[in-house]
Amino acid sequence: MAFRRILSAAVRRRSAAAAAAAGNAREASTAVAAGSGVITPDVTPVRPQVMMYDRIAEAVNARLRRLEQPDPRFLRYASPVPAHADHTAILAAPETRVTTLPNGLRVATESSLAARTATVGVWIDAGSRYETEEAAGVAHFVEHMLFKGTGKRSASQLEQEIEDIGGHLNAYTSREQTTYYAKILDKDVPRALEILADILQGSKLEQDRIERERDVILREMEEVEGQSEEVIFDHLHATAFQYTSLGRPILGSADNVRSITKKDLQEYIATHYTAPRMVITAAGAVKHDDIVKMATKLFDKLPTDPTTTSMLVAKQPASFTGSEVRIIDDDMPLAQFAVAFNGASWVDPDSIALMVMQSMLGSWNKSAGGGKHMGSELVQRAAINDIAESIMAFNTNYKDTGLFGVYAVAKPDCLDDLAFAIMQEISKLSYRVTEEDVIRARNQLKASIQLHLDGSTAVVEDIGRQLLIYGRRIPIPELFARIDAVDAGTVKRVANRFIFDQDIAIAAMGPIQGLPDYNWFRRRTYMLRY
Amino acid sequence: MYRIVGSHLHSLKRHGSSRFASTSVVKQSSGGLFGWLLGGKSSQLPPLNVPLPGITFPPPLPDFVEPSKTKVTTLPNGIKIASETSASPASSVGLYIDCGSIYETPASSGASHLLERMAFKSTTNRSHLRLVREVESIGGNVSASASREQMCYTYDAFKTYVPEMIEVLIDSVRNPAFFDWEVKEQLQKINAEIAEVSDNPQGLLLEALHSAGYSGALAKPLMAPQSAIHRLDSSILEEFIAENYTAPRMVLAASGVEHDELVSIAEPLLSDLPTVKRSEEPKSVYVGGDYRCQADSDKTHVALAFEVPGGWYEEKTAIIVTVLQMLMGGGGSFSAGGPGKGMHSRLYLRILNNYHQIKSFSAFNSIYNHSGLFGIHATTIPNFASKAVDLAAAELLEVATPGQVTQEQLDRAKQVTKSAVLMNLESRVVASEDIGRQILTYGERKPIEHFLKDLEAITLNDISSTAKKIISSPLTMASWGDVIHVPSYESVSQKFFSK
Repeated sequence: MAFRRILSAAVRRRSAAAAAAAGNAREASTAVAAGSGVITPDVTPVRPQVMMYDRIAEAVNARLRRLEQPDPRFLRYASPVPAHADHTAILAAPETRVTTLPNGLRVATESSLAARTATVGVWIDAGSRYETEEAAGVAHFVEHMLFKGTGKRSASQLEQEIEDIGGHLNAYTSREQTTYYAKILDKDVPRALEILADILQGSKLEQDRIERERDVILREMEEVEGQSEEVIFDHLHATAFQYTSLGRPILGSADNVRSITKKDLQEYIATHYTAPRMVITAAGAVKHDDIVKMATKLFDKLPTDPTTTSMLVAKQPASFTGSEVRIIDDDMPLAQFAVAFNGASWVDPDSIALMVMQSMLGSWNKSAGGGKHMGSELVQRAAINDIAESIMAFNTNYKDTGLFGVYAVAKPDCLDDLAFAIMQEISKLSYRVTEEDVIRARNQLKASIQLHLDGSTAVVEDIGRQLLIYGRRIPIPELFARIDAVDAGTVKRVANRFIFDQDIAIAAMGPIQGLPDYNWFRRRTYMLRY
Repeated sequence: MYRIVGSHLHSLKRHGSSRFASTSVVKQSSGGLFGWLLGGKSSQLPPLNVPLPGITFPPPLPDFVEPSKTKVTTLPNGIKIASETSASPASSVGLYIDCGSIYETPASSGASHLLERMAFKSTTNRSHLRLVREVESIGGNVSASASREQMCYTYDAFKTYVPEMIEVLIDSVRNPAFFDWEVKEQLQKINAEIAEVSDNPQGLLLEALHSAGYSGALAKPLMAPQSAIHRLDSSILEEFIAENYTAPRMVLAASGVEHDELVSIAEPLLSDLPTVKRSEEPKSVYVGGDYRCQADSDKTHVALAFEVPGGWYEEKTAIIVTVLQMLMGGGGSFSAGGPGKGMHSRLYLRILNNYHQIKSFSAFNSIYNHSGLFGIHATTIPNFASKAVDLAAAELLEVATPGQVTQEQLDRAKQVTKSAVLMNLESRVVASEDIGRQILTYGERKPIEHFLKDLEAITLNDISSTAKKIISSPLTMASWGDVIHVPSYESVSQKFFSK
């Protein structure tokens, strides 16, 4: 009996749907009742002619029917299949001019005289990895102190001078580079360059200012500790490059910040802020000859010690140690971890392939639009199975080494699935790579490099960084040719070099009880296939 | 075991390199460069500090590239197409629509917010999968944003791909499919967004200022209300689009695109849009009001605001208000960045440097076509809230009193405004947005000189009289967090009327 009722219900639903489509519901429904010959006990006196779900189905179908005739006007150009395109014709760029002054200082500019604004900056081949262990944190301390007054102007005069011209003066310190730059209107370029020269060569480093700045830096440390991504990457460096200077955090330790002396600061500046290790860069409304002339006159007091960073790095190379650090904190809502392989150095030709691989693994977070449909299989797995909050592949380069891997944030109950997805997708790069995925990644990499160069500050940054790490600015057409030279075969070869059965470093934080152990990860750097 | 893996790898490596050779043959035919690059082992490419031989370079650009004029074409159905060229290899295309939360009805409340989230999903011509892959395959960036009066959809990529960009952009704005499952998914995301609203008290207060301060269109929430999650569906969106996304209310703007190319590709895609005579813009009346919400927070967030009469159409006033905001400035008590972040603005010098109880204190403005808000936003520890409100009121009264602002402060604020505008316009994305929004508002793109001239002409008198006009409107107050110590609306309002 029960079976018959189900059957009759099924019949009714089907025919009712048909009837709804035909637009004559009443007749059909009575026909069903007669045809099936079963009197259902729960018949209400007034039956709805079309059931709610029929209407919904009909609405959905109507919507889907609109897809049957796509409008060819809108399907003429775009293609979902990535293809190689030649951008040579549009890649014309203003010339990058580089002049080396007698003291070894380099001046590099890119002019676009139609602009009314400009950025000038000083890029220094010095950062926290060149500090001594006792004075770790001094590189960043110096960056703070240089804004605190020189022989010519006090800190507040400096601030006021910049604010009066509507400019911006900024600085940052990384593990290998330190940067000071100013963004100003065209007519203020000479003044900005003068200010940069003054703070780099004439800073007073007054004792009471140093004391005051300690508190500011300690407070900045607290801020950084609140940014979990920064914390994870600091821990990752600490474990991957343990017992080398690259493993130390940029800000140094709180104890060091409290104990750094004026002498430490002066010594650091004297040793590392030397003319051959600096690049003056300018972009926007600037003329190369003017900048060279001004730089010659203004930056005449720099030390000319010929020691290069390659010598310093050779003396204290960074070495990668397969290891992990886990900070269990069950009170945090989300777990996060980073898995990294020893990557390539800046100049390594394979570093380009690693960039393409980074782009293949991709990055994603829950609020991103494309999620489930994105090309990266790692992103697809994370989005479709809902096993992560965000995922980001990273590829960091240094003078003699690098880090390549994936950083992810997830709820504690999906860590094993996520770890599996990440490791499988990474190790797959050594085995199975499709040409389509590589071309897509290449196109995305090229676009992200070029689209980022939007404005004079980004250009100056690009020039300064490249001159310090490559000794030249790689022209975009050359960079693109190198990217286009990466194909599926190259990716597999490079993955075999950096990923296949290589040691890894892991940093994890939060409710990570469910994160698999180190050997589990290490085992998944290769696949067993017989 | 390890050996087996190793030997497998060997065969795999060999296999890999043989495949490699075959692809390089294919590539050789497509370009001699790749043959050269891949001839044999690619690992023998020189390191990056050594130039790669055999690259063809386009001739370098001259140092001075004449900045282009903005060209505008109006199609017969009323849609405007505007563009300027640029020397950069990238271009940015955007579709701007004179539509937003002010056009929502009680039934469609929250539609603009949902539309922003539904942007670049399935259309009647392409699936979401296809669209995502099309964008990825050229490495482009797409984004959408909704505001109270304007919707904007942008696409950013290499100039090589201009036709692809225009096609996808217009298709996704014109022909959205609004599948129920896609709408539901985005509604869930909006729901999650609403739950996290307490992470952004400043945004929350801005919403509150609008709902309390206005009566009419501008009072409608931009952020979809909780009730919208169950009410909104695809048919509401479809109706909203049919009513509001009409030709005379749209502008296609681009930076870095040849105008003729843009028009020839976009015209067939846009020319059949219906020319519906645009309905009257919904009216709003500024009334002033109070909003306070006790929330679980160890800080008090409070904002005082007044009406900027006239909005964008009162261009002079709008520029003065921008300068006034720079003049008052302010910021966070602890923030990154060196000199140039406004350390010599009035609020920074007079408030942040003197009262460490205040975590942030800044002037803001939010200007619309016919009206706008100007005021001060403050974040303090709770038992200082009353004093902070007094300080904010005193600061607003001060700038409205002739003789209190010095010429030096005004010159600095003018300079900061000027350089901020020029620096922003360096970016092609901002330039394209500027074209789109200006044409939507004024029907033309005014040259930057026009703005700079008006800016230069501002005097101390303008500042104090405009400020006075602003604070003579009724007060709007909003607070969130630990609001016990926030003074009553009447007592604050009194301060402004007694003068």
